[in-house]
Amino acid sequence: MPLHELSQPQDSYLALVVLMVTAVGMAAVPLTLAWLWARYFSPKKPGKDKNATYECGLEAKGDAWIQFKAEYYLYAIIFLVFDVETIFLLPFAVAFTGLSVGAFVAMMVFLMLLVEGLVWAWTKGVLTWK
Amino acid sequence: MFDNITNWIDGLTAMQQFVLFSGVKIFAVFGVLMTCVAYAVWVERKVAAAIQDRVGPNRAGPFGLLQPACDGIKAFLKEDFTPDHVRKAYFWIAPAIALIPALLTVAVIPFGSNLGAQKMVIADLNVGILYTFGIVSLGVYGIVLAGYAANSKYPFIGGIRSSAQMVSYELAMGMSVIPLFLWVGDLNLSQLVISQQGFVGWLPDALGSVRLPNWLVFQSPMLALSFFIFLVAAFAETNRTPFDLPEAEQELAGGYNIEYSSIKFALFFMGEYAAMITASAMMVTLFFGGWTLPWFGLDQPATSIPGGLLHIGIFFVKVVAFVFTIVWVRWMWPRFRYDQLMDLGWRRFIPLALVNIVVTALWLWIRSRS
Amino acid sequence: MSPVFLILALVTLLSAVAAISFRNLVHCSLSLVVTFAGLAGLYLQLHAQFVGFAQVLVYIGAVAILIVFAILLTRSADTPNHAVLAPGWLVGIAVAVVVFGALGLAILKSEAISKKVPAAPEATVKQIGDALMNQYVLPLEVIGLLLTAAMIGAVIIAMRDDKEAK
Repeated sequence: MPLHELSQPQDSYLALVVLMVTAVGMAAVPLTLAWLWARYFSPKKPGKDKNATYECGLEAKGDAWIQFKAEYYLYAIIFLVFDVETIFLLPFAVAFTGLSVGAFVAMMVFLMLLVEGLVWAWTKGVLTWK
Repeated sequence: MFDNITNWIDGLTAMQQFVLFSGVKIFAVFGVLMTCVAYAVWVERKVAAAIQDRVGPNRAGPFGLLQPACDGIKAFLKEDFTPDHVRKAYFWIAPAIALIPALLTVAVIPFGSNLGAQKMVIADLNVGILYTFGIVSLGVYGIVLAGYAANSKYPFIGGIRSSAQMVSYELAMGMSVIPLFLWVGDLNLSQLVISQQGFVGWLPDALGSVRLPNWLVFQSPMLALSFFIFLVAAFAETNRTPFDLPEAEQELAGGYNIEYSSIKFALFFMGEYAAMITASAMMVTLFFGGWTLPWFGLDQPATSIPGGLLHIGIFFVKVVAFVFTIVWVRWMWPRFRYDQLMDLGWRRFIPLALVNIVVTALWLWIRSRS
Repeated sequence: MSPVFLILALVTLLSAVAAISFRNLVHCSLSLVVTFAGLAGLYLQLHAQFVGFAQVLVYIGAVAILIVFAILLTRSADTPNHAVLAPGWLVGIAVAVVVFGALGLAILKSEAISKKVPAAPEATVKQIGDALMNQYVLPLEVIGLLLTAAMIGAVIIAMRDDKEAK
């Protein structure tokens, strides 16, 4: 079979695009079908209690938008910084085998900076959930 | 008949062939994935029943095997109910956003060696692992938007909690695989699988025929630790017990998907199981040799169609083993408290993963110098 | 200009405009996600795989999440009643046009643009790693230091607010 060899990156992208469209379809088609079914076949039966906010049978009190702990935000900030640093570790990992001593030490310093940030946050009690 | 088809395929241009085969691959993968999602639910219920000394679903079809189909029809025909107080647009798209990333992760996973000239991977990216983590990081949106859309207290708490949990363990997961790539030196997942052929070299010869496959998890203690961290993080990322805090029934009555019903709830449900299956497939690829098996020459890329199918079968069996383990754990472990969960992530696993990177780098460095 | 580029550029620009013009901050942040995705698509279209997917991971998966978090935690998604545009928006646009024009002219007149650029070979991750470890090692360390400092600063600001609230 004269099958053509194809391994260009743009072909991978094409496959990815097709995959994404299919995945969106997998989610959108059931939603649309169910919507159409509900629209044309199943009768709507709204009710005051049925449409109310669910809070285990009690009537909802106050705003849904309740006050939150700021800790969540602190974790998100630390996450962001570490996420960026992890990105730098990937090329380092791939280039590792051919590195000179200087480069190796440099990367260890980079890692130590990461560790330092973590240690600082730990000693400040940021990483302790209160 | 068969000749006609091969002739027709041969007559196509390279581009058309590529589109045809990619399309077939994508539909086959999604078909298998969705079937697995349906039956993972069945397995979950059967295993739970066995562990709790019950019978489990047994009415629809033999052994309740038609249960997933019934559930699907039921979810579809239920009243498609939208409460008054929700933010409508987000309420509709949140289930879709929760499902889509779980499906997209399969793109870079090599689920077999090759069939004919076709590689059994949808997109063989050179930065495969980065793609995976990029897509996994999108999973947070579905949950956060569901919590926001519902405009109700429990879903909101569930959504915020869950996203903080997911980002924390995403970090642990990302750091846990760095030693792996230090070891292999390539981010392409097909290459990663190829590097796991054969048997490990460190077992003493005296053991004779007792040999371990050269899978990365067996190659060194550091990589085994990597696997452990990855496994735990995968549990947390897929919101499975012992980390199913987002839907902690006792405190949140169901978490972010409380206000959802019918097909929209089913999409969240499918998303969760699809994520569980793709996480299993990821672990098989990264740590357990992917489609390889070191016996009977099964670690070499297949040269025939049956061989290729066998590789897909091997991969499938490994994935099923992981799915079974994840289900099993759910019915054996209690749930963590939220503070325990965050402490475990930030004060145990992330430092452990960092130390693991440093130790692996030093070890590889010393080994290459001596 | 390929059609792919045009579509991506259009998506990026439109979503960027949307991100600054919606009243509801959650809509804004989600438009921003689309902008980031469009940029990632542009990088991929330039065959910069690593940068493209890093963009998805960092900007969509972390930066935008942080923004959504901040909005949800501070209740700032309540739609404000006042106008989206500041009073001096016309002046602002005029300044922006002037700056853009000046920059564009400078770029068009420079010699760099008239040089024939050889077709960019696809940079492998290994090449990126080598460049980072050898040629650009000092910037790398500075980035590490900057990130750590940024984290410490951000945490201190967020922590102090928390104590005042108590």
